[in-house]
Amino acid sequence: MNTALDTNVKNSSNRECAIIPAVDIIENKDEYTLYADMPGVAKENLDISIENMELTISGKIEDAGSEKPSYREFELGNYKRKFLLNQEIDSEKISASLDRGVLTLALPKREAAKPRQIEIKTA
Amino acid sequence: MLTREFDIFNDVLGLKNIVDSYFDTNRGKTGYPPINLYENGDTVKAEIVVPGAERSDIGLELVENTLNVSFTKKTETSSAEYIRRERGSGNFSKSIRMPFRVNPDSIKAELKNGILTVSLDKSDEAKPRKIEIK
Repeated sequence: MNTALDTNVKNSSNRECAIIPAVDIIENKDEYTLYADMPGVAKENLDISIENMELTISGKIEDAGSEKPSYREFELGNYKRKFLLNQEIDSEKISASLDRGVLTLALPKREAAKPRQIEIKTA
Repeated sequence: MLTREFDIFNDVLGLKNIVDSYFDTNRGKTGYPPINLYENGDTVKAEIVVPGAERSDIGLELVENTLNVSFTKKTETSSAEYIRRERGSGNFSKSIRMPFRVNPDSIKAELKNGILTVSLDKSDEAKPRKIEIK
């Protein structure tokens, strides 16, 4: 119950195949920052949505596999990954940017969740 | 300070998917960055996956018929508390031989959305020549 960000590896009901992008998650006192490698995805094909406390990142590749490679080490496909947000995160203030195939998500913490110093008064 | 449950199964499963998504059938044998080659008549196209790379992070060199690519994958921030780290960073390099002799002047490279696409034409000597029989 107290995990900060959880990975939800679910297969969706209509059996779409998707690559799970690798992510780095960083925490500082004001926000979480998430970086996801999604090479081949352009901004117009990126979709980020939140339902309840679940964040879904998905990206589509255009012209997937129209040519057949003579030598293949990787296969590009659509990306999808879900995360369970916790109460600390202010979901209205989440912002995203996509640059050079890397998605950067800023997830600010609610004011009340930030660490505060409590002053001790001596009588 | 929040207490966090460490769920080992989450991490192990995540790692397997990351590896699978980069290396298709040749699990781990092919190294990083992954490259695909497409042959199209007289041209060959190489697609190299380099997420987050700027032009200065990539080194591209053609030596005869071998394409050498080097890639520095940087982390966005050095002094930060990572609570999950899957992407990896470091210096990588790889060489790949072209399937036929290429014309070095025809090389073109384009970096878009984290993928480097290099295209090369077949060299004139490598193209089939008709031999006239007198």
